Amino acid sequence: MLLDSFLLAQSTASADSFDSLIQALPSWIPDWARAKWLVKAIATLLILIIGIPIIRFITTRVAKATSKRLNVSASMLMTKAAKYALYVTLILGVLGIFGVTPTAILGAAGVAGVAIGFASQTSLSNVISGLFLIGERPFRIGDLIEVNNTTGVVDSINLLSCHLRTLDNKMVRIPNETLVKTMVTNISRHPIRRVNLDISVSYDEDINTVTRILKEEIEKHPLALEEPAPLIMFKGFGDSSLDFLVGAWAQQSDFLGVKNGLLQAIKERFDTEGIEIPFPHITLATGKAAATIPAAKRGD
Amino acid sequence: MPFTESITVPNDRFRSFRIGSLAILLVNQNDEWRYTSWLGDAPELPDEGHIDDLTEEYEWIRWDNAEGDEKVQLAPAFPELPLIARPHGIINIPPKGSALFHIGIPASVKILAECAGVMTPLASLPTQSLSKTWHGNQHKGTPCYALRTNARRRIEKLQCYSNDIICQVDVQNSSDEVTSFDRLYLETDHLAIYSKGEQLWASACRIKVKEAGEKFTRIIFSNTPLAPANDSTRLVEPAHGKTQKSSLFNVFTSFKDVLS
Repeated sequence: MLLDSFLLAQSTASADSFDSLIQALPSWIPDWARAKWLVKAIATLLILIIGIPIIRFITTRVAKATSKRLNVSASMLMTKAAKYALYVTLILGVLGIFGVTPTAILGAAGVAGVAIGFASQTSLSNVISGLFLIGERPFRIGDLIEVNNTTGVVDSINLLSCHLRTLDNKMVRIPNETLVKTMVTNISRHPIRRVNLDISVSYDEDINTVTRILKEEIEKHPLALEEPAPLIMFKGFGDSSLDFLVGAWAQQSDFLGVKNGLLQAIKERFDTEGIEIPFPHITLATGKAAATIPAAKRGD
Repeated sequence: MPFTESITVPNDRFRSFRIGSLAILLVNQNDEWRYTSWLGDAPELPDEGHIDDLTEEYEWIRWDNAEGDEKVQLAPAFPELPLIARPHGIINIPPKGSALFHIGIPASVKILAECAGVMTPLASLPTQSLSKTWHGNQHKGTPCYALRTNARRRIEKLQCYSNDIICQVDVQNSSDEVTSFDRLYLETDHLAIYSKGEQLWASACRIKVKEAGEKFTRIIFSNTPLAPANDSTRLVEPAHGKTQKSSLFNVFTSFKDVLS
């Protein structure tokens, strides 16, 4: 009741000032053009026509200024904050023409805020998480990250969520809260990366020969880095194979090329050298061999 | 080496070149330069001829040119990335001592062709397959090419091919401690290329180590190679212009910290 009276008082005050503005218009303007709704519509249109380009100009300047001093994510966030603030100001200006003052809106918002606050805990948590992400910078726009078995390139870091573009070109929206709570792997943070390959050979093969061949194939690959030195490790005795770990370093941009190239080169070299790559064998038994084995009778 | 003054390839004609293990086929056809290249196994091709003599289909890289554009030039160039050279083993240079090293850098071939009357670089192709390496640590660094031949103290011991550019590096230890030389990081942007006889040479450079383990090491570029090539002819200007001095970051960086 009190709030209603408050809004009515504000609206009346604004209407009075608008009446005096219409009366102050030059005398050559006809009466029909002095209609209050028409003047209000023209004023609204003028504010929008002038205001929107000004907002665009200011946000562009903010984006340029912040991009020089801040990282991409923080710059994007600052620009968006400035944009939203300016648009809110513009909307308040338009509402003011129709007699709704900022004080009235803020008063109403104060009452509604309590209710909205309870309802928007998750959103608020995402906003705060977003600020943590901007501050901590575990990843940047353009980084390749892995979150909960989803791998993709960070397309944008927003107030509520981050957008990932997966390698098969799907867009995944991840709430900022999830990114703060869960483990995030930044795959592209460092300029070089180790390509790990699991290679298995038959028990008949000589370990030293296999190690030498693997080393030679890495040395031959033009994109596999000579330094840091590659890792060739005999991992142990598998169920039916001798298992090796081959780790060759590559630049991020060459990762797939090195992985594919090495696998192919190793297979071809093993074929040439007669080194056997074992694989599981399944024997299908039919006829008598597949019959159930009769259980022995008690006392037999 | 076919690094010569410009030659002419008229319309509907081709030229082929072989430099080290690199083979290049260049065609002037239909207001276009077309070229293709092979590193290693290449088809047998005549040195020049009419395009109708080319019976096989090739994957061309095409550049637009204007009517009357006929000039082509092959120029030597350094590889696109910085280089890492190593001596045969670690060499310790005593305080106030110096050591001269000779390095063989496989030249690249820059194809320049006339496009609307202007000599335009079409490509820079390596004459040998170079393998990549990394100068730095896991967090930051620079991709480089690793030279397959070792830096040698005596030029006679340098395994050098005619398509290699010999660069002389004089390492001077001005510090009061022993400096160990196990690798050399060499940026080639400030080096010019010279020729003497059939051999290509680079500007000599002198590296002054003022303090053992210092972060920046002063490198001074000479105007010419040292003897026996100090009277050679300059073929190519430095890619990034002429400079006398430059600071190289961690010229003697060791990779001990990389895997620790």
